[in-house]
Amino acid sequence: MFGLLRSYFSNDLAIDLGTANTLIYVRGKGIVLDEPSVVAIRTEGGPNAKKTIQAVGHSAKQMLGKTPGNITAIRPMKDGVIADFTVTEQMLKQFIKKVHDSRLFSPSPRIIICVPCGSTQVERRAIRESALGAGASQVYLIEEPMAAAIGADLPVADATGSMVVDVGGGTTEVGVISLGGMVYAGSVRVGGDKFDEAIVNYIRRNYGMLIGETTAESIKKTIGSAFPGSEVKEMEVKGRNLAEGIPRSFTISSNEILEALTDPLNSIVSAVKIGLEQTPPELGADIAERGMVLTGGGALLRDLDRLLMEETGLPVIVAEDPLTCVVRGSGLALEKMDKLGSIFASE
Amino acid sequence: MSEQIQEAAQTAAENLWAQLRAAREARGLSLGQVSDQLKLTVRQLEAIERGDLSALPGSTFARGFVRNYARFLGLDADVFLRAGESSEAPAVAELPEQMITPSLGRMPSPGNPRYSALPIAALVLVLAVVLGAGWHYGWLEAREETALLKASQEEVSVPVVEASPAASEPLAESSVPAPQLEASAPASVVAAVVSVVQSAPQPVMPAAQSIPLATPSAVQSVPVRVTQSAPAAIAPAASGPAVGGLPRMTLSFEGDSWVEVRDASGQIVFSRLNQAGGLQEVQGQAPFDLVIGNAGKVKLSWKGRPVDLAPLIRGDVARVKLQ
Repeated sequence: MFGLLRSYFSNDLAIDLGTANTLIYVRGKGIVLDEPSVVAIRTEGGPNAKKTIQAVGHSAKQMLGKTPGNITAIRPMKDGVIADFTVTEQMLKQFIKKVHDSRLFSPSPRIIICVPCGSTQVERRAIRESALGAGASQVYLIEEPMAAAIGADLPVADATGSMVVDVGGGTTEVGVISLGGMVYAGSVRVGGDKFDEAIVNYIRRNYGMLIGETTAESIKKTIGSAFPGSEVKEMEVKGRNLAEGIPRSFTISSNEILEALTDPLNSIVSAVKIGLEQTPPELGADIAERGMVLTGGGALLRDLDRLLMEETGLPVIVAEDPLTCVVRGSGLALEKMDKLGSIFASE
Repeated sequence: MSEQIQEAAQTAAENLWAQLRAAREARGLSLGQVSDQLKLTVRQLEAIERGDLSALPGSTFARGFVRNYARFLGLDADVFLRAGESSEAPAVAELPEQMITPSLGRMPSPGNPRYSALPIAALVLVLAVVLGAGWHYGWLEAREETALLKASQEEVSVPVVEASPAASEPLAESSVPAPQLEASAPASVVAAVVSVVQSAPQPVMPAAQSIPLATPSAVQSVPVRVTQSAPAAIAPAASGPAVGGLPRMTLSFEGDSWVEVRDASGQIVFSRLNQAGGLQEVQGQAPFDLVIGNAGKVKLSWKGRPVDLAPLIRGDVARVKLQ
């Protein structure tokens, strides 16, 4: 009765607090916010010295790597968990303010927030606390593979095994789900960020050129691929030559990026293989029949599904709109949170 | 007519799915070769080429397989997905109403012992019995009275102006002017006390009666006279003259007793602990409300007639209204 009343006045939120992007789903409205998890903080000097939040989201991401001394653009999430507690809390507060109109008498929202399944108790507590600090009245945690599976419309409630591989910005989560619960959950701290890092390192080693992470990300998105395809793409990249100390431009091909990405991709493949090894045989048979589903931003890396198909010999499909799978799944869980106890994670 | 349309639609659909087969054969690939690449079984590929998506495991996977196959052949996957949608229910992600079948019962867990209803009911019953008995025997009220008694004693200690034994005679005779009395005692508390005279244990003059003092500031026009006498002065005090023919109330104490008297307007006339053997006389406008503690040891007379307190006593305390 009271809950029914509250649901009229409060917009409950589902948040995918990711390393790369934060997405917010509002009950009854759908996804209302999709912004990079970046905060720009300005330090003011003088008699009223203080730190202020200059920007969050897209505008802050544009500042990454281009800030003067008094502004720092921070990515407060690392490897799927909170690296900077205060900044994360402020970022969440700003995002919630954007989507949740706080009238005088409207109660604070209940929030479902995703956590990597490999996160420790301390990390989960930190995420919960930061959401509470950002204005949540109650916080429920949901593990990312479960949210991703719901968002990808897998038959999670059935007595069949569904395998989901969520390649996010900071972590790759592998989950096998049956009867509304997780049978196997594995997590490796490899994701889109590690791909960028690998590209930066490769170019520094092989070309003697230094590029920023933003450039590395755009290379990955434009010509990155996970499996040697028939088509070789090329791209012109600008960076600072380490030997000369002068900005130069050079051309890099997709095959080179593939070589650069070998290490992080191998970690993902081995995480998937370990997951398959640990899956009970009955569920393994189901997975062999249906294959696994790729979600998360990493699924957009060209031919990552081909790589996993070749490595595992199982069909692999990329979920529709993989970037929003996790938040859509959390949103669906939000709509029915009062009935679904089993899908939420405890600390 | 409609049959023709239906037929045409069916052929169009068949043609659409046949495109997949045509594209595969144009590339010179057998089903087995495609199966090797896409890791789908030949049976599943045949089902896709027939357009029979129901043979595939679930809509999510069917759509994924079709997309993979179309992309592999270099065709536009959306065309096939739309065709698949029309033949099946639209693929809208929806959580089942009940994630798992409702539980049949709770498992007892060691950390959360189940409470039986019996001890709780017994506890409630015992509590009810105790409360009922308390109400019947007036334990609760007695406690209330003692609380009241304490509060009233504190309240009363201020207003009552007591004359010291030595000063009682001059006071009684010269009748201290009212303004002076008013100044010495907070008027707000004892507005109704008109005169209070306490005579010494052995009064020199038997007629040491208090004379009512006219208080100019008194709001009430009800004159009330209170006389307290020590045992030795019982006789003279009892025979004090009536003021204006108002009814008189006499209280004599055989034991220590706390008494509170309120006059017609609800003001406290006096409220104090009286010593054993004392006598208290009140004259004023009826009705009076009396609360008498230790009522068994108090004798009350009203308009010269004794009042039997025995039937009014509850837990040592009697409440009387004198008309």
